[in-house]
Amino acid sequence: MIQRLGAVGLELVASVRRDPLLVLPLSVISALLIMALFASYIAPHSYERGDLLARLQPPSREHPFGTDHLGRDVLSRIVYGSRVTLMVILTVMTFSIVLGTAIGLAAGYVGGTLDVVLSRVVDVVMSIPAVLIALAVVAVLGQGLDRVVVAIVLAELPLYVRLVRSLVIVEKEKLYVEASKALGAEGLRIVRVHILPNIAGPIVVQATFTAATAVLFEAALSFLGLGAEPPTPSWGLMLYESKQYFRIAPHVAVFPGLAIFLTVFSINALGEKLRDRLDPRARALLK
Amino acid sequence: MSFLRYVFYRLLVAVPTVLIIISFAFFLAKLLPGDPITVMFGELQPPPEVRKALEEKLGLDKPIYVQLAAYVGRALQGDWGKSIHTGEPVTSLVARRFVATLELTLASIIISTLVGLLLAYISASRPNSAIDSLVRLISIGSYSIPVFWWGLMLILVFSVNLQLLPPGGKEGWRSLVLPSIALATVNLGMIARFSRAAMLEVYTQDFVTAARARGFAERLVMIRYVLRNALVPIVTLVGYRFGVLMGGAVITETVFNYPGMGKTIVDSIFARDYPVLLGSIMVISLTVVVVNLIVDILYAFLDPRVRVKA
Amino acid sequence: MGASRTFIAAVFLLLVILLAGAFLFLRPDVAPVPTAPAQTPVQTPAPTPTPALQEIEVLRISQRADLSTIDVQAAADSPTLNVFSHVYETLFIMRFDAAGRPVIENLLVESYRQINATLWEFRLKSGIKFHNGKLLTSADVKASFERGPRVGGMPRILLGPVSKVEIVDDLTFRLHLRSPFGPLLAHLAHPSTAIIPAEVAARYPDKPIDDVSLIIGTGPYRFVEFRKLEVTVLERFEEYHGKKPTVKRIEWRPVADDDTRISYLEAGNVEIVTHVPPHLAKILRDKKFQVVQMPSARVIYIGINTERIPDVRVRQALNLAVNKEAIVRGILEGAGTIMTAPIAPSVFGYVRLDPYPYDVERARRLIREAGFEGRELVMIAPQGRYLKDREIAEAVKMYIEALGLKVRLEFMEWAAYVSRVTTQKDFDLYLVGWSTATLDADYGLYSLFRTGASFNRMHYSNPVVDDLLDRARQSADPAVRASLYERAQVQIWNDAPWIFLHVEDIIVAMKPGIVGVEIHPIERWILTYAMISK
Repeated sequence: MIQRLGAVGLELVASVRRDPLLVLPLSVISALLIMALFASYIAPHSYERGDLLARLQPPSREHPFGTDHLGRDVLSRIVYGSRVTLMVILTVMTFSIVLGTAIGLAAGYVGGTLDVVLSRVVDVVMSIPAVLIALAVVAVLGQGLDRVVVAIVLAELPLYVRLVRSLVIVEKEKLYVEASKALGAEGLRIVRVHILPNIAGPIVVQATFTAATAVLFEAALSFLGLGAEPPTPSWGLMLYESKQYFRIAPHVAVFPGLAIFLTVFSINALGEKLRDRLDPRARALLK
Repeated sequence: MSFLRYVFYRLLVAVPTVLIIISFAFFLAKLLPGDPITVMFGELQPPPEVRKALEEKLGLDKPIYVQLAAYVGRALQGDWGKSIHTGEPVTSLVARRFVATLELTLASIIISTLVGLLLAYISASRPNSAIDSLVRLISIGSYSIPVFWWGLMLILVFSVNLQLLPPGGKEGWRSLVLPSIALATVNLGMIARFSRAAMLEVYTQDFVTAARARGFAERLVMIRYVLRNALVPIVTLVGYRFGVLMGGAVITETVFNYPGMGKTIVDSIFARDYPVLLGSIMVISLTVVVVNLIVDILYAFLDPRVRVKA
Repeated sequence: MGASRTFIAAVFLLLVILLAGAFLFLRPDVAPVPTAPAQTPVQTPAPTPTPALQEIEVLRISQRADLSTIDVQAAADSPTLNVFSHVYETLFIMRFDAAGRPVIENLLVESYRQINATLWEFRLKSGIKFHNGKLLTSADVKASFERGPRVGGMPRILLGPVSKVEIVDDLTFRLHLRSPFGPLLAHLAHPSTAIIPAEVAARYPDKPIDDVSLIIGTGPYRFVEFRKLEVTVLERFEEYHGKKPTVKRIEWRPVADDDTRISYLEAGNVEIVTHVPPHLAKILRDKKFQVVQMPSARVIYIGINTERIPDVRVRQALNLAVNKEAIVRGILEGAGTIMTAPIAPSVFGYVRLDPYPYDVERARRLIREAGFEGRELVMIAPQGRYLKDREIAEAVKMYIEALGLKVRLEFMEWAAYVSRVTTQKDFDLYLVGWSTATLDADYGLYSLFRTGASFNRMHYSNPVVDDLLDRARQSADPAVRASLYERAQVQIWNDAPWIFLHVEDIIVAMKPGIVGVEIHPIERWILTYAMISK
C-alpha cells in the first residue's frame, strides 16, 4: 500500500508537466511545510510580542504584511500559523481515520445488531450540520485548540464510519475473503491482509478532504472566538481579531484569509487528483 | 413497494431520528458546564433549602431516564424552557430567529442553484475544453473559500469602499444581499460540479443521441433533453445541501451580525444560555431532518427506482 | 422517468424560488431618514422648544450591549440601567449644574427631613401613577427597598445602610439607618434603588422578574416590547407626572459589533450610537456627525485574586509590568487617561497618586524574590463591554508573559462573565470596569475594597483600609471624609489588589440636528427631552 502511495506521489509530480494547474497547489503545500519546519528562521519578528504604539501599520519593508492590532508582525504570525494549521490537519486526520476505520470495520464486518445501532446513530448525526456538532462540542469542552481538534474529529467521524462500513460490506462478500474464511483464517487477519489494503484508497481520498475541512473548521471556530486562544497565531483567530479594524486597516484581514483560502484550495485540488487515481467510485463521493 | 408505503416507511424511520436528536440535546445539557440551578441564579445563589426544593420541582432528583423521558415529553409539546437571561420562552425566541435564517438560507440556495446550473451548463456543453477546466477551478475555489473571510471581503468592497450595501444587521432586504451572496459563493461549486456530472450522464443516453441524430440544434438538445432530465438528481442535491447551508448560515450570520439562529447559537455559547443553545441546535437539526425527508419522498415520487432500494 | 415527473420537479423548483422570492422581497423597506444640518452637541437638559426645534416621533439608539436582565433591581450594568432609567424612577435624581458638578434633586419625593443621625423621613409627591394606573404609595417604597437587596448586588450595596423602612401614612415613610451615612441621598438617586410596584415585589420576593408585562414603573416611558438582541421599545407614558417628554417612542437596538453599529448611524437606521470606538470616531467626525467625547467616572482595572496571589510583591510586579501609557495611547488612541487613584478624578474624595511606572526589570526582580517565576495565571475578561476590552486583556497578557509567567486568557459574554466573577473564585485575574455612579468615593471604594464587600472579588482584606472606609462613610463632614479617603487610597495603591489601568472616555455619536440628549460622566444617556432641528 505504501508502495502504491509512493507511486501515486511520483505520478503526481510527473503529472505537473502535463497539468500546469497543479503547480499552484503543490507549491502552496510545499511552502506550508517549509514555513512550518523553519518558522523561526523565516519569520522576521516574534509572533507574540508587539509594539502597541506601532499597531495597524500598513505593509512596509519592515513589515511586509503590516502589523496587527497589538503591533505584531502579521507576516510572522502567518508563518508561525502554518504550524497551527499543520498540527490541526495531522491530528484531525489521524484520529478520524483511526477511529472511523475501527468503528466502520466493527459495524461492517461484525454486522448484526451492532451494525444496525451504529448505522442508525451515524444517520442521525449526519443529519445534524457538522458545524453545529462542532459548536456543541466546543460549548461543552470550552475554548482551546485541542478542544477544537476534538470537535472537528467528532464532526468528521460519521463520514468515515459510513464510508468504511460500506466498503467493508462489499469487500467481505468477495470471493477471496470467503475463500480465506473457508481456509480457517482468523477475523483480524482477514481484515488486515485482505480488507484494509483494498479499502485504503477511498479512505486516503476522504482523508484529503478531511484535511481541507479541518483547516476551514478550525479557522471558522477561531473566527467565532470559540477556537484558538490568543496569542496563538491561528489564521482564523487573526481574522477574528482584525475584523473590527477593517475600515482603517484592511491588510490585517486580507492576508490571513488568503493563507486559509490558498491552503484549502490546494488541498482540495490535490484531493481531486488523488480521487481520480485512487477511487473509482469518485462519482458517488461527489455527493 | 408502492409510493404510499414508501412514504409511510420514511415517516416511521424519521420518528426515532427526532427522538434521538432530542435525547442528544438532553445529554448535551447534562454535559454542559455548570448545573442548571447555579446558572439560573447567576450572581445571587440561593440557600440550600431553596436549591433542594427547586431540584425537586425541576425533577433533578429523579433517575436520569425519568428526566430524559420528561424532557423529551416537554420538548415534543413545545416546551423548551426559558432563556436564562431574559426569561423569554425559547420557542418564541427561536421561532423569530429561525425565520431570518430561513430567509438567508433560501436566498442563497436560489442564487447558488441558478449560478451553479449556469456554470454546469457552460461546462457540460463543451466537456474537457478550456472553459470546462476553468469552471472546475472555480468550483474547487468555491468550496475552498472560508465563508467568513469572503464575507469580510464583500463588506470591504461593497459597503466600506463603494458604500452600496450595509455591512450587517437586518434592516430591509438590502442587508440580506451580501450575506446571501457570501453563502451562495461557497455552495455553488458543489452544485456546478454535480450538475455537470448529471448533465453529462444524461448526455450519453440513447434518447439524447437520437434527438441529435434527428438534427435538433445542439442548444435545443441541451435545454430540452439534457437539462430537463438532469433536473431530478439536481433538485435532490439542492435539497440535501440544505443542511450544509444551514450550517454555513451559522457562520455567515456572525460575520454580518445578522440576527438569525447562527448568531443566537454563538451568543448563547458565550452567555452560557443553555436552553437557548439547545433549542437552536434542535430546531436546525429537526429542520434538516424534515427537509431531507421531503427530498427523499419527492425523489421517490420522481424516480420509482429508489423505492425498491429502500 | 417520464416527462411529467420532470415537469413536476421543475414546477417544484420554480415554486420554491417564487415563494422564497415573495417572502424575501415583499417586506416593507425602512423609510430613509432625512438628514439635518450639523449642530454642536448638547449635554444639558432640554432646551426650550423654539419654532426651529420639534418633537421626535421615534428615536433609535444603539448601545453595545442588550439588557442583561429585565429586572431593574437585579441589573448592575449601565446599558441595562440606561434603558430602565427611562422606565423607572428613584426618590431623588442626580443632575448636573452649569459647571458640570453633580446636584441631587427631588424626584418622587416632595420633601424630606433628617430626624436624627440614623433616621430620615420622606414624603412622596401625591398623584404619581405607575404605568398600570395604580398610585405610588409608601408601601411601594417599602416593598422595593426590602426586595432589592434580596435579588441584586447593586441594591444590596446602595441600600445596605438602611435597616428598616417604616410606613407612616400613604405618602410618608421613614428610613432607619444602621449607622450614620453621609452619601444617603446620592444612593437614593441611583437607578438601582428605583421604585417598583409592591404587587410585583410580592410576586417575585427573591428571584428575578421574568415577565415583561410586569416591567412597571413611574417613569416617562412605558416598556412596550423586548426582543432579545433586536430591540427594546419604550413608549411615552401619557400620564407621566413630570414635564411631558418630547420623544414619543424610543427604540433601543443593541449592536455588539462596532462597525455595524456605526454603519447603522451612517445609513440612518438609528439616530444615536454609543460606545463608539476611538478609531471610528474620527471617521464619523469627518462625515459631520456630532461626536461627544468626555472622561467618564469609570475606571478599568484588572482585579487580582488575593487569595491565589497573596504576595504583595507579585501584585506590585504585575502593576510594574504593564505599560499603561502604551495601552492608552496605542489601543485606546488617547480615549482615556492613566489611573492616578483607585477612583476617577471626577469623584468626590479623589487624590492624585503616582502611577506605577513601566519597569520590567523591577517587576522581574520582585517576581524572582517572591519565588513566583514560571507560574501560570488564569485570566478572564469580557468582550464587547468596555472600550477595547479584548485587546486590553490581550495586551496585559502580553506584558505579563514578558515577565516569564504564563497567562491563560478566557473571554466571555458579559452576562455570563458577571455571573462568573461574582460567584466563582477559579481565576487569578479578571478585567472589569467600575463606574462610581454616585460620584462619591464611598461608592467607588467601599463595595470594592472593604473586607467581604459584594464586589470585592479580589477578596482583598486590610483592617486599616476597612477602618478608614467605615469611618469615612459615617461622617457627614466633607473635609474629614476626604482625608480618610486619601489615607485609604494610598494604602490600597500600595497593596495593589488591582492592576491599575485607566479611566476610559465616553464617546457618543449622533445624527446632526439632534439636541437635548443628556450625557452624564457616569455613562448614562437620558433621551426623554431630545428634540430635532427642522
